[in-house]
Amino acid sequence: MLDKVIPVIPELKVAILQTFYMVSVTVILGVIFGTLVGTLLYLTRTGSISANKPMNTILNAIVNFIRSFPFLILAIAIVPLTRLIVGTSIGTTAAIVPLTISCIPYFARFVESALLEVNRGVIEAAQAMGATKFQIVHKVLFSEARSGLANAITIITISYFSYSTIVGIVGGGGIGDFAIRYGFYRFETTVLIVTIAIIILIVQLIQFTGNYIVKKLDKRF
Amino acid sequence: MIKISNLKKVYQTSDVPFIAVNDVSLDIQAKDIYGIIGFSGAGKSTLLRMMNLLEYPDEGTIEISGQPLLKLSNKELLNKRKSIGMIFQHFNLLTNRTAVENVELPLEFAGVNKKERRERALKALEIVDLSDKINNFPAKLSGGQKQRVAIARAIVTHPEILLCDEPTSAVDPQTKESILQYLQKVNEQMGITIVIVSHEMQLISKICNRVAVMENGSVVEEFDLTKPIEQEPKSLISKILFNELTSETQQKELRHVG
Repeated sequence: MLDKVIPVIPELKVAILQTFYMVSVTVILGVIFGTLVGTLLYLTRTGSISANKPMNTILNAIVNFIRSFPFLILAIAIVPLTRLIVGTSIGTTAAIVPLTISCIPYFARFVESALLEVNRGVIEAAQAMGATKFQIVHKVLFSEARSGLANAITIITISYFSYSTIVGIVGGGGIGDFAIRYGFYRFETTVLIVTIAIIILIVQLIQFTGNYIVKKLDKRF
Repeated sequence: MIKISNLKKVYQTSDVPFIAVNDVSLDIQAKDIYGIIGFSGAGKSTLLRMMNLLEYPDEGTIEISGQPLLKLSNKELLNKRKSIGMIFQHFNLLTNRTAVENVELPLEFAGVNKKERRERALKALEIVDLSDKINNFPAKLSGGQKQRVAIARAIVTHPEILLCDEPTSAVDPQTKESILQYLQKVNEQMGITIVIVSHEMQLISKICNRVAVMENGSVVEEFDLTKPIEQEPKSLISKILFNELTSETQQKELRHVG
């Protein structure tokens, strides 16, 4: 049984590293820009501290527009953009472009809802203390929403771990591509099972770590 | 200290405009403990929240230490608010910060350095007798203790004024008086002018030197509690306050209106 697996181990290692590369860059960029967009969505809402209806409407429209693409179709549709950014539309780095573009609005929605959970009274207390808007966002909103944000990062990491398997279609490589090539095209069931076991292990690990961090950060109870 | 003239606040509801505060004028002196009492919906909180412009009036003016609030730029207003502390019915502490970190927050906003922040926060917590709870998160404090942390947080910047929005309404009956005693203490020891809004009128009037009675957005009566009451109480609320406080019928009447 192992004789089927051992020869592909070097290739499996490369695939895992590719996945790690794609997911980490996607999540880092998604969290940075998603936090920015999500915070703006929250702040510009009617009744919020920087209410701005036109801006909120535009942001919502953009977020909904990107979010409405099924991921595979988004990956294909933005090929010209990918080519413009990384010079090619094929390969692991090229795969990061559609992953990140779909991740930003997705994470932005998570940020928006985590911020909406923050007690309005606490924001009011900060306003009464003479806090600037930036101070309120930085010291009150993010601090109070931190466990929700950590939970959101856990969820998108697992989601984009899953989405990264689809980008094999644009030559993205990674563990999903590996599983399809060996398990599906070559009917190597053992290799497929081993790959799936690794994927399950990684997902469990991410979730476990995420839960641990969320629990550490949450002082509400 | 706080001079309010002809203040008016109207809320646009779907059908008819609702006048929350109607032509209110008050003159609150330095070192007063000034009570604003009335039933729920009388406009007390709205009036209080206009004193630091959490709410903007539609008409009228507010002067604090001679400075007209409505004429301040945004930056000046943020600065002015640093000298006006505020506490709330539901405490509004940050759940992810310990007691002492909560008290440090206004100093962080003011750009005070870390060492001085901690020293001042500890001192403020000492005033409210919570030196043994400094590292507790709010979830591990009782309602009364949370309100005391909130008082410490509000006075740590040494404000001139402390605005209190229903400060005793969400704490246990046994703890209400202790909260008031701490307010009295900061008034006496630090010379902070206090404005208290509450529907718990009998309770609040124990520490106030002056009281305004609000009904339907207007101040209907004002009393100086340091002198014997000579004026005949006009409104139902003041009658309840100054006549037999415990009479059965009035309690019923009160419940009826409330």
